[in-house]
Amino acid sequence: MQSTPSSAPVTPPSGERALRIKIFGIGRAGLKILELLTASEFASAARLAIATDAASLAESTAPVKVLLENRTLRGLGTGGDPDRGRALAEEQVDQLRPLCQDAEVIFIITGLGGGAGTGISPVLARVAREAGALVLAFVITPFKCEGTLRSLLAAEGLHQLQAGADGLVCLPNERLSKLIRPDTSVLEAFTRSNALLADAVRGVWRLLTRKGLLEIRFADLAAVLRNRHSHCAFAVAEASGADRAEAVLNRLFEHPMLDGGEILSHSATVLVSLTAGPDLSMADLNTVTGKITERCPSAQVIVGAAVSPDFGDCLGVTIIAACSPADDEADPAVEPEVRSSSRGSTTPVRTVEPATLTGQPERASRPEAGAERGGSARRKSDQQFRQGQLPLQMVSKGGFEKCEPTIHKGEDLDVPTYVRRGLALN
Amino acid sequence: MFDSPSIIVGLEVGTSKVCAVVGDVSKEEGTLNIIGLGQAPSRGVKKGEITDPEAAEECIRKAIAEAEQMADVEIRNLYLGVTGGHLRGFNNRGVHPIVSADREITEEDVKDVIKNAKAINLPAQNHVICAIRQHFTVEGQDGITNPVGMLGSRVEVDVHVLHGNLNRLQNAIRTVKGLQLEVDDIVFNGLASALAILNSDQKELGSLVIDLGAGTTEFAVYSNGIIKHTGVLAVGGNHVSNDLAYGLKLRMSRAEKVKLEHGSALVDEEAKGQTVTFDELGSASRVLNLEHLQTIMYARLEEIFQLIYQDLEQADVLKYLRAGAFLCGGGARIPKIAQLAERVFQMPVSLGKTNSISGLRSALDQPEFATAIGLVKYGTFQMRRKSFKARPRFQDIFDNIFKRS
Repeated sequence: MQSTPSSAPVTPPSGERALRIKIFGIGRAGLKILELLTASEFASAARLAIATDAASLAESTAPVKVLLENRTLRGLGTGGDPDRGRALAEEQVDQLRPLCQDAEVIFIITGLGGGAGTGISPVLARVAREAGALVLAFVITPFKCEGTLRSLLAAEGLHQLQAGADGLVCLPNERLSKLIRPDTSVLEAFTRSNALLADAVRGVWRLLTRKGLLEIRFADLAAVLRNRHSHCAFAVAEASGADRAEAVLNRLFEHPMLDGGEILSHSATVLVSLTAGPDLSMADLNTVTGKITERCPSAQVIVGAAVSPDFGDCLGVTIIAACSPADDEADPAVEPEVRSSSRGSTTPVRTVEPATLTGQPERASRPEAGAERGGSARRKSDQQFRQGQLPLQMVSKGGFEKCEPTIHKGEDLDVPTYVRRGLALN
Repeated sequence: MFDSPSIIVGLEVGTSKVCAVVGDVSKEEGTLNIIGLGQAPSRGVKKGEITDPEAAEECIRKAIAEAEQMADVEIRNLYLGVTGGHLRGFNNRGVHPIVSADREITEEDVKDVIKNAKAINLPAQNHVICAIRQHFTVEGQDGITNPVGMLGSRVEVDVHVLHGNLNRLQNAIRTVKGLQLEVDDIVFNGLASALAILNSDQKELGSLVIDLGAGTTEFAVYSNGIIKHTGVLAVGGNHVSNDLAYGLKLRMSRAEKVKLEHGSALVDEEAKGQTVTFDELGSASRVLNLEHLQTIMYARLEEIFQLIYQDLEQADVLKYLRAGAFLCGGGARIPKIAQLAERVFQMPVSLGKTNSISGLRSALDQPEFATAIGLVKYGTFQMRRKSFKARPRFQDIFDNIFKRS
């Protein structure tokens, strides 16, 4: 379960395929993670940095830097307000659009909870999808100690981003606290979480670019992810030695990001990618895929394997488990933050926002994409609304449940008046 | 026929209690004296209608026995109060041409015109509880109380007809008959309450009587001495308790108690932010927010009044209510209920007093007994009418004999 920043230069340039990938780092957290994805490793990908304040952008080594700015911000950034970030992105959407051209896959890397990442990334995801790319978002949500508001904003942003992107890999920092020792310094904790997300990007990158024994083609990935708005959990583990297959599986199933392997059983699609030295045996492959398939009987399992001389006798496994949105609604363990926020009154409305804001010319040119997205978001909020009402009706009649109802002008008078009038008892 | 005709009994089978009142009409003065009262907590009654005849029978037996003991009489006949959401009241007009040569209106003509007014198209399962005569109109001259002896070519009469589902009315009657008691007549509870509470001045001026019962709320409008409008709403005090039980997460019995102890029809200014604590046997003590309690009650009670107001508005009888409104029934005990009603109806509202009757005054002047007392009063009117009709003719006697057999 040790993450592998050490194994960074595993990808020989020769193993890369001409898949056009663009990696966007948005906001301060996004830029930091982008720094971890070094140029040598991601040579074939275009790396772009987007920020709202010049200072953090100056530190970035990304080849393309975009400063989103307008006069109202006065060079101070969004000030942690996602609405400002969103408004800014919508305003400067013409600047974003050319950036998304000429790419088959677009990675959006950001930290949610602030102004830039939370506000801009859903807009960017939408623009990127409209440009025809497969959009994968890699996000970090804040620690609990960063404040309730940040968590709420992050959950809201997550919802919107999920509606905008084809696939979403989320690393809740709160989960990370299980991974790190309590005496870890704050700096180290953030570094770890950044590194972990970078690992996820790397894992997907490897899947897409590595020429392997068993290749996962871009078409496969696109087929399982496109238009699914899925929420993904990912885990990376490595082991070496005689029974490395068993060891790596144990580490995977204990991984906090997979909830002890629990998430696998809810997943609709599971991508398994093995990387090892030239001594990768059939037995290793069989053991790993067999055990993982056992854990997720209902999922479509896509296996990829690659040989890399740098791995020596190491066996590295990356798992990406994708749940369709309906599934993670039903399963509270997968995404507690989003669930709690979706009960809030404002969220369903705001979830629809990215779709309704799509009043741009592109919409007309790609009507089916916009309509589908708006439709799915709306369907979802409808569902939540209905679920909330039904039990209320049943309970509130109390002692009169078995009586003949007293209906007056279509109103059931047996239901408490304050409930029907919506009086709040706080 | 064989027992003392001066004894009149009213029985109300309510949702929360069964109440029997025994009245004695003194032969010399013809005044009514209440001599007995019996009551029992009611079971098997929901929203004013009997849902479990056996349980209800037991309660009626208890109440009757208590009343018999107190009045020292044996009860054989009684007037039964009925209510329920299925009851409807409306006004109807009957016309009759006078064909005799001298154009004098006779008693026969009056009978005919009333018969015409009562000929109403009702669904087959519905039964007319009563058709109360309002005013006669002779040759376009209205407001005539007794047209006999007047001259005219045609006579018209307005009646207020109350009808309900026959089977559901029969349920109540059957239950009482099961106790070997004879039902002289069934009377709408709202009408009985109005009779008990209003004096003739108030009836003349125009008044509204609202009986806030446990299961149902009845209302009746009197104006110019006649019934103008009646109605019933199958919502009552039990709904208030149910709302509280749901809103404050209490048991129903506890909600009932909290309602009586801390309830208010208006949200008190001083109740804001206040809490009440109570201990419950076998469970931890609970703290309730007084403001929530009163808000829930206020919402329900205001709605009841608003529904009545809308009904009166639709029937166009609000303009007749010059003496204001009177409240009775258990709900009239809720603090500040009159203020709430004043706010909704925009007219003076007071608690009804049953002081038009002599007898056990202090015991009887309770809002809950208004209906039962009103039933007795209705009985005296019926009796007076019978004796007023002088000696019955042979035909009538035979009619009566056949009817009773």
